[in-house]
Amino acid sequence: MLRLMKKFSFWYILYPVLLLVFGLPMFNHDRLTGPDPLSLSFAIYLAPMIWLVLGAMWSHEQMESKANGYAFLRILPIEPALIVKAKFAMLFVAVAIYVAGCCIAFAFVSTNPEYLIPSSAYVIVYGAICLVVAALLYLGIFRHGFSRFGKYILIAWVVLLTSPIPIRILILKPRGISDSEIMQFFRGPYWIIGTTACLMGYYLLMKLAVKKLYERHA
Amino acid sequence: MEHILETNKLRKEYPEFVLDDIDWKVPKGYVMGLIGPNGAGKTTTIKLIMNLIKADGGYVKVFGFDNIQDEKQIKNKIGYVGEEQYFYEHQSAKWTGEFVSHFYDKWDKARYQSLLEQFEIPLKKRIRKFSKGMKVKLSLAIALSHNPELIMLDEPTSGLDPIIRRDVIDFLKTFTEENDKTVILSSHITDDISRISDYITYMINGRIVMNESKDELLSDWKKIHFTPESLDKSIIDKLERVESQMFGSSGLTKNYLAIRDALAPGVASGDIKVESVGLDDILIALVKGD
Repeated sequence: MLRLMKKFSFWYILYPVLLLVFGLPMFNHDRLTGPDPLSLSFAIYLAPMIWLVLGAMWSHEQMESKANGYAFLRILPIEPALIVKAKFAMLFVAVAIYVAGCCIAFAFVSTNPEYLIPSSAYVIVYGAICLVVAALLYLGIFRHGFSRFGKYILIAWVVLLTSPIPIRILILKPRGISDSEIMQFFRGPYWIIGTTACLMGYYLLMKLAVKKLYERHA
Repeated sequence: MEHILETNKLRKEYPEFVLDDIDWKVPKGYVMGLIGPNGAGKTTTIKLIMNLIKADGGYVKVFGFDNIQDEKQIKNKIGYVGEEQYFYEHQSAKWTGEFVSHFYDKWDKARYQSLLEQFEIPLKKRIRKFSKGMKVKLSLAIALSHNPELIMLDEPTSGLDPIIRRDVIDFLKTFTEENDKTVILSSHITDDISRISDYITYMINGRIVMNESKDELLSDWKKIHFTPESLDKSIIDKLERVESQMFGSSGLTKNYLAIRDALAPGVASGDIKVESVGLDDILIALVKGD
């Protein structure tokens, strides 16, 4: 599986690394050195950028589709389940790189657990949700093929990337919910439960994706 | 006789085509030619054997193992060349060899390099810049470099020019003779099959209509040229595709040995002539008679 993961790794490594390289410096020096060393808003703005990881998925699948990668791999002595597992593993790695990068950046800015834990938890939960959404999109690819389903990844990508703005304007602001209140949720144990549930969902969706890929042979 | 491959009631249904309960056995150590017109079901059969598509019924056993349950184990011992060649085309032949080598238990790097040299395939050139012939040869090099026990070639020469086609078939002929491999060669180009096959299977409209050794087939099927008065009517009635021409008539028999004695006087007097037929004549007779 490591060999396949290596084959699939290019876009899945490139995207999160580029995100970190270009994303982190976007936040100005004042924010980081102000009275609140690790502004919670920092995490709130940084986390949704994880949706850009879906771009890695789209780029990778577009390349596979162009090269008839699945047809090539199916000739080799590789079980289809292994192909799916390798792709899901690389997706996990991509999300993990970004989440870990963010958490390290947070820790670099502040060691105060009052800020560090909820900020990190927020990004971790976002990462876990991103995995579930990506897994659902992979199900679509294995069921319908990239040529038919690829456009939905792009649509999901645009919608999810821009979603924080309408959520803030239409839901949070009218109800007077502040960033601090949002972060309150991430101080308790709920975020651990949520993350665990997402990861379990991701694993189950991977199993389902294997089934879908087998069915696609029919 | 030991069989390396066996299908039982193998079935695949498409809206406009049905592969109809295929029972097929391929003897070990021989070259099996699979002949049929376009759309006969040759590629579907081979894809089912390779588990590239899902069967609607029946089963396939290769080396005695189930082709779905033991897919990985079986593919480790099969060299496959399809009608279309699929590679990561932005990569080179060298990269491709290194990549696939990790998935085969018996990958022979030296043989791969030697085959690439023999086929004059550049190591570092991107595959997308290869011609169709080069891609077929690269496919062959990959298929033969992990010491496969069964080689499955699905219309490998389709779309190739006659010179490269001949190169590929000649190479396969030498390779199979020297290495005692079992080969399944599917093609609608009967000349290719005729050159290297020991056994022939005819497939028409999703069914196997004949499966015999090539020698028996060619000794059973003959073309008989005759004048109406030189041949008994009961024999003429048994001939297929009887055609009347200016200087007499001709027809095909699929059981020459049974009528050989009856033809002998006419052959001796020169009124009857017996001509060997090609695999394509038999194919046409089978298709017309189907």
